[in-house]
This record gives sequence, C-alpha cells and structure tokens, in this order.
Amino acid sequence: MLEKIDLFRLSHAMARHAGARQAVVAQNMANADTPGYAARDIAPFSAHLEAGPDFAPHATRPGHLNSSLTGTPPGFEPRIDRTAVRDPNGNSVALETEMLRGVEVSRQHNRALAIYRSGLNVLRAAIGRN
Amino acid sequence: MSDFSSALSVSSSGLRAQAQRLRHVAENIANADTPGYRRKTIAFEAAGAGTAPDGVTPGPVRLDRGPLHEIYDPAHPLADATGHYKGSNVDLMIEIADAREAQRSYEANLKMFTQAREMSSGLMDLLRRCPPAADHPPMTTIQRRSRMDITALTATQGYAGLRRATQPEPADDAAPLAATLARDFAATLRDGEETAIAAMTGKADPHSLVQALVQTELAVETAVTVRDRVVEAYQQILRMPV
Repeated sequence: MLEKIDLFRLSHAMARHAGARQAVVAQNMANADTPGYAARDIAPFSAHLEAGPDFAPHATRPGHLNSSLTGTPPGFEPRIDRTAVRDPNGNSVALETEMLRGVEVSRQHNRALAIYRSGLNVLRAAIGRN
Repeated sequence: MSDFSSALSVSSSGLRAQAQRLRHVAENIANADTPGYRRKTIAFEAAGAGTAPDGVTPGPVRLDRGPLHEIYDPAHPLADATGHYKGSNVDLMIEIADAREAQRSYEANLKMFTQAREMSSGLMDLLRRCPPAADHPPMTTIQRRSRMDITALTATQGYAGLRRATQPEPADDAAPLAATLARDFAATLRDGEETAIAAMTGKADPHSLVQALVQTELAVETAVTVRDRVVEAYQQILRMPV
C-alpha cells in the first residue's frame, strides 16, 4: 500500500538506476586495458525522468502537489559511448572519466537512500503517538 | 543477477586479470637475462556478448615474436663464431611501464569493488531500526490500561443487554474503509514475503528486497497503530458513564 507513494517510487527508481550504472562503470573499469573495447554508459537519471512518459509527473486535479506515477520504472539499458576518444588499440575507456562517474553514481545512490529514509521517518512519525 | 553482485563479480574479474598480467610482467623481468627467452604477453578480452556486463578474461598467453637481442660476449658458452649470443627480447623499460599500468588498473578496480560494497551496505542500513525505546510506548500503556479495565469491562457487559446505547452500531462508511485497509495490508505482507523469497533464491535485486521489507514493516506498524487506536476508542466507549 505504500509503494504507490511517489516519493518512494522515485527514490527507489533512482537507487536502482545508480546500481545499474555502477555495474556499467565497474565493467568499463575491468576492461580498461582490453583492446577494442568500447566504453558503455547509462544515461543520467534526469534524462530517464524526462524521456519516460511513465515517469513524467502529472497531477490529476488542480492543486495536486503529488504526482501520480503509473507503470513500472523502465529498464536502464547501457549504451556504447560514441563520443569517447579511442586509444590506438581501439579501447575507449578513460579511467579518470570512469572514476568521476563512479563518484557521481555513489553520491546519487546515497541521495536516493537518504530521501527514502527521510520519507520513512516522516511516515513513522505520522503513525507514532508522540 | 542483481546490479551489485554483478558489479562485484565484474570488479573481481578485473582484479584477477590485472593480477595475472602483473605475474607475467614479473616473469618477464625475472627472465630478462635468460638466453633465448621470449617475453610473454596477454591481451585481455571482454567477457560476455553485447552490452551485458560480464567482466574481463585474460586471453591466451602469447610469446613476443620480436627479434632476440644480440649480445656480444665471446667468453659465453652459447656464443657463435662472431662472439655473439642470443639473449632475451625483454625490454625492462616496457615491463616497468606495463607493471605501472597494471597497478593503476588494479587500484581502479579495487575502488569500484569497495564502492559497490559500500553502496550495498548503505542500502541494507535502511533496514536497521532507529532506537527501539521511543518506538513502542503505546503497546505498554494499552496493555496496562486493558488490565485495569477488566472490572469495568465486566461491569459494562452487564449493562450491554439492557442499554441500547452501548451496543455497537456499524457505521456505513467506516466498514469499507477498514476492509480496504486490511486488504492493502494483506497484499503488502504477501508482496514482502514473495520478494524476500525471490531475493533469497537470487531472483530479485536488493533494492526491491529492501523496499518490500521496509514497507512490510511500515504496514505492520500502521496496522498495529490502527488496532491500538480502535481498542482505545472501544475502551473509552466502555468507560463512558451510562
């Protein structure tokens, strides 16, 4: 009954996105020295949020603060990063970029979990007596 | 496979591959002065097809086909008529550079491994409860009150047959609401159970598991609170002077 709350759905999707992107970054790092390997990436969460019609918040009544999200969050597909510069051996992984993405992903994950936890605390406070 | 466990296995495959590369570098350096030794190289290959993350595998070991160094040493037992013998084709400079690169990549993989572990443990921290002392005072007060009210309860039960005011009157709008709440509650519990079972058999990702568990917990808390309120309201009605 609580999974319908938008705050929870969004932060859940955000945490899942961070997890998926982390796996892709780890894959790039592992293949940093593989000849001919093209770096992959998942679009940032904000891009998914804007692109997916399922995610677009829409109010059903004027004055709704809350949006109504329907449908399940879309899968986060890794795509080959065409903009990356290739090494002479055909590898396009730059460790520095991957490092940066890793930090970004970890911060996003922490943020999503903090939002989720604060939502939980609010609900707990609401059903608590004191 | 879930994201975190796949990130961990991918990172560990990277660590393994880089360690093997470093071992071959060490072998090459150790044999730098072995006559006729050809340096060993390995080329990594991406494991798994397409874009599915599957890590990296060290490819087969190859021998460097480059020319062996000619070393002039007429006293050497292997020396030919011109006083030269064939040494190894190991270039120490290249090997050191290779070792540096392997170390750098190893560290990067290790960092990813640690990060995936931290993210996973941060997720599991959601399940950890805040201090339980502040959480459940209502239960004890309810229990104390119900114990004290037993005499009042029996006394009022005597009235119940006589006074229509104490008879419960089902309200029209409250019943469907309570039924919906109960159905929701049961569905949440069932979802939580199913997700937990799926996660234990390795089918669900950790995010869904934590979400299901946390929501089950919250649903039970809500149900308990509602129950407490109902019991309390009932007792207040019973205590009403009639």
